[in-house]
Amino acid sequence: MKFDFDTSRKSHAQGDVYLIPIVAIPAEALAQPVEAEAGKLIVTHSETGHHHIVMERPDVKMFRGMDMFRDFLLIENNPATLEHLRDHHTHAPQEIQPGAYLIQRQRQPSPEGWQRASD
Amino acid sequence: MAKIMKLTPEQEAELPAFRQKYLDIACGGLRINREKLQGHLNDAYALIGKPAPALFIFDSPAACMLAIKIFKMGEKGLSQLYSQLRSQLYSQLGSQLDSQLYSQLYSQLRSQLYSQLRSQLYSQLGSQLDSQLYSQLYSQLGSQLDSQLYSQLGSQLYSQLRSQLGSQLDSQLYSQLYSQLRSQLYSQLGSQLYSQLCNEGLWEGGYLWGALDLYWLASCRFGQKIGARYDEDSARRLDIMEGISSQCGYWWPFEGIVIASEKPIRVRWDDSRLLHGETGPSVEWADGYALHTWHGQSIPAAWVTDRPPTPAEALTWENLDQRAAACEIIGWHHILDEVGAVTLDDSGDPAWGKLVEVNLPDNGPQRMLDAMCGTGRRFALLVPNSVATVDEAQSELHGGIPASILRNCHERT
Repeated sequence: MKFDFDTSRKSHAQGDVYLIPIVAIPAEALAQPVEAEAGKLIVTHSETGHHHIVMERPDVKMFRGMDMFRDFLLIENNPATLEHLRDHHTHAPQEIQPGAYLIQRQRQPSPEGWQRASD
Repeated sequence: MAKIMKLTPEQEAELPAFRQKYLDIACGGLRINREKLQGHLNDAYALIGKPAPALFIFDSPAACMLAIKIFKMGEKGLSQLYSQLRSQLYSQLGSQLDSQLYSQLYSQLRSQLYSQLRSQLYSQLGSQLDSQLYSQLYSQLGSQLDSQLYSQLGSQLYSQLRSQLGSQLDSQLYSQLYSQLRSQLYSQLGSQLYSQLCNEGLWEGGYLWGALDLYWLASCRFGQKIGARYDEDSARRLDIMEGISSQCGYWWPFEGIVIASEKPIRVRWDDSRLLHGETGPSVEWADGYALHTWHGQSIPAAWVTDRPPTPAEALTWENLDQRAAACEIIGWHHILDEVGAVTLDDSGDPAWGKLVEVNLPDNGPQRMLDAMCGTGRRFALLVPNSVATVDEAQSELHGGIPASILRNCHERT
């Protein structure tokens, strides 16, 4: 999937995930929307349940990316809030301005290749 | 009857809940309903022309094995009788084996007897389902439940019981209990008990039977649910096996007696469905017997109860898998302090981090990014040894995105 970074806007980093501004969501990704779970779009899944999420909204959409490390987020109209679902060592919420974003999750090397950094 | 070629969307959507239902039966902490289990066992014994067995229920498989060993003491012939009866019971339950289907579908079965029962049901299921659908069903229900119930619980339990019932009984019964006795009695009773309880082997596993069988029973049952039809005889055997397996954790049949274990009262998994307990056992039985695992890796109980490993212990722990778990438990950042990491590049920004190299026992040099996260906690992240700067390390950790993009950050929390 091809996309261009939008360097006029700044990234957001929350724990092990980055939201990096891009010019537009790739066309191939638009065909693969990610469903919300219990009203939440899970930006980064945590094996201990401490997900990073954006609340579901008609004008907030998430799309499947190229691999387990990358998806896309589209926020239209109004800002959305990136939240961390943990009641201890909580990564502070961030207001995300409208626009297209690459969701870039942290990875780590292993003997089997790159793996998602788990928390 | 035409073969069922594929699942309807509705049937496919049912699979996760169906799988969960059986997981809940096996791991949901349900206690045995004695009356129901006795009824299913009576039916099973009746199938092979045996009178209804007396049922003895214990809280854990460990307690069952101890009880069995005690029953066996002084009765050398009982062991042989036990295995003969077990074989007879299961071959009768399993009845005829479709050997062709068996050999095609299951090349690595746990035992022939085990397969006989299973393949009879599967032969009927397979003859009515398209092969692709059959594979789909098995992977959705069978293999996933298999990996959770048998591969993990079964093998973890197997290895733990073997090591603990042997070595722990040695230390607990022999060393501790009998150290209180007079010296002469101590040595006599100690050695006698040791030889009977340990040297002859307490492990009564063979192949464990019980709730872990639900993974394949679920496949059979779902096939029935979507339209496969078993003959009356097979359907009855499925009912009996599911009834027994749903009630007890494990069971051991003897002539006139069945020893049955309760299921665990609590099972904890991580998101990858690996047994995982961060602050206690991952599997607990009512009598206190427990398994301690870290993301599926068996670990010493103390690591997650009262005494986590020290950095030095973690780095030098003999078992490499347990060593990795130990490092995760105490955190790499503690270990970096302990091993005197050498700084190769320092960004000057704790959040962006510094690149360090440590010399890990048995692994040689390993580069790591030592950085502070938005919550103020320090993390040590493994990076490829090829990186030479913090910028390169950050880029590698984030899919090769240029550091200039990553550093152009509005907020880092």
